[in-house]
Amino acid sequence: MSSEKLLTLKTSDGEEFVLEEAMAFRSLTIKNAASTNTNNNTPLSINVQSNTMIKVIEYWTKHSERDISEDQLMTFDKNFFKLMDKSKLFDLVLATNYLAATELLDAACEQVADRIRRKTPEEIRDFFNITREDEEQIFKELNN
Amino acid sequence: MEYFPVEIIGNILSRLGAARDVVVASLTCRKWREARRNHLDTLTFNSNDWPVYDELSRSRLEVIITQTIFQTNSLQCLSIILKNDVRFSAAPVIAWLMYTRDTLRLLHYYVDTPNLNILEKCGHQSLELLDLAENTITGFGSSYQRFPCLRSLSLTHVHISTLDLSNLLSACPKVEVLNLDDMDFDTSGPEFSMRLSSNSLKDIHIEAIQLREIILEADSLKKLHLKDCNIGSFALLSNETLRILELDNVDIFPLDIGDNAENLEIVEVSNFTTFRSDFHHMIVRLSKVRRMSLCFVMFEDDGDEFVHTEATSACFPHLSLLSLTDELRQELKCGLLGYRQLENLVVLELGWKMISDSFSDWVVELLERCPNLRQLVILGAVSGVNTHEECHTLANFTTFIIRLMRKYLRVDIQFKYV
Repeated sequence: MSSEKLLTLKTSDGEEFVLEEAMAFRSLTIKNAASTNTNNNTPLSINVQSNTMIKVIEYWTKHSERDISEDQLMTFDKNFFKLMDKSKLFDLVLATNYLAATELLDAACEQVADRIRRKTPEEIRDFFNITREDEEQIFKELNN
Repeated sequence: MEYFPVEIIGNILSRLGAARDVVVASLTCRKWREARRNHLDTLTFNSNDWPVYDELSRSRLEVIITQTIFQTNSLQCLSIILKNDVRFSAAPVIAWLMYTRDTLRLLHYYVDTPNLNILEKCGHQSLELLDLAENTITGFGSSYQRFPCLRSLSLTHVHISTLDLSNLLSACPKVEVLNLDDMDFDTSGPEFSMRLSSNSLKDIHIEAIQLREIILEADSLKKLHLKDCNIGSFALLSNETLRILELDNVDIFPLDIGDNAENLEIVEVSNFTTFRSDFHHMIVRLSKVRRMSLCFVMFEDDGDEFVHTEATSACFPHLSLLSLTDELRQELKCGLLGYRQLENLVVLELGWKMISDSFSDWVVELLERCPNLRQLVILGAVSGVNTHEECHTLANFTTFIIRLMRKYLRVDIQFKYV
């Protein structure tokens, strides 16, 4: 067993997660909060749902493994996102943005980009649930 | 989605990259348009993304690109790669470069643009990567411009004099990667030679070039790759930092890499013609090499004057992968790889251009020199095996190898035929 320092996180829906400090510090938000949190016994509150945090920790764990090849990581990343539905993906983007976990945030944004590539504006609006705007308004803006 | 901050949308748009996708996506709503305006850092106009580019007229293309670029304000990476021999006029391109000057870090530009002095117009202070094709660079010699942040310079089919290229390199104090491909050197002058000098270059790739002489002064050079080149004379002056050397379909006489052989770790030579003594002199000093591939090496001379004394003391203690073709058999007899055992050799690949009976003997000779071998790979050219006699030779060889390998049970045998 490693003698790494551990950190306890408490999600917005009350669940607690214990992980190695080094792994948790992949989130700059957690890192900054931990440095100002003098009391090591109380868990650090984070504004992330537990089911999203589970995915984040899954990703961090895999990317912290030693002796893992580039190919294996690429396969993992591909499968990690392949089965993720849209709303989970959006939750992940928001969560990693809040956590300032840039590696996973970039990977999640890349996945969103892949899913909307070559779509028409209508299809993209559907994908993101954006309401149609006033045509005239758009015309005015574009010509300003 | 309403909760996505505009910077995130900018991140997503930047990853889309292809200009058409970016424009289409930003038609969806105001927030996306704002993201495109303020948070887009990458824009790509590439024929591979949208074949319609190839059907548009030159002026239409210029208008589209101008409108798209001018609707952003923090572009860091711009890529314009179009097919079909389109040629832009200089004015719009100058506008794009000046508009993005303050923020642009990476520029890929593959469109022939007469009368454009691209080096003068692009931002000097922030440019980190310049990947240029199909253009002309002139008159850099008397320039005071410098590119303080440029790390990577790639020129493909660019018309430039060797002197201007040399001056350009000197103006890039931090450049680490240099790629030259199919260059159109201005050899109408007296310069048929090229002298490049850089203390920061780590990786040089030169392809499809014909010159009388190349002199590289590169004190930090780690990797050198020459491909499809015809070079009269080549000299590398460096601080023994070279680790990787790749020569592929190259003719060089003479070849001089100085003391750099001492620290080479990976050497891959294929379809190479040079002077015999130069070659022996280089190989026999590769005391730190880990992987070496010497295939289809030919000599321009029959020189026997190389020194044998170096061969007797030559050893390759770190060599773990070796790949040879059978025309080098005679050279090995003359001490190309010394005479000692190859203690740490784990993988041995032997190939032939034309199957012959003596190849089997050669395999035996080498196996005896490799006490810790784990894998033997036979690379054979069989597409030329036509006559009855040739088939017979191949069959005999196969039978012989199978029997031989029963003596070497720890060695895994593989055949790769082309």
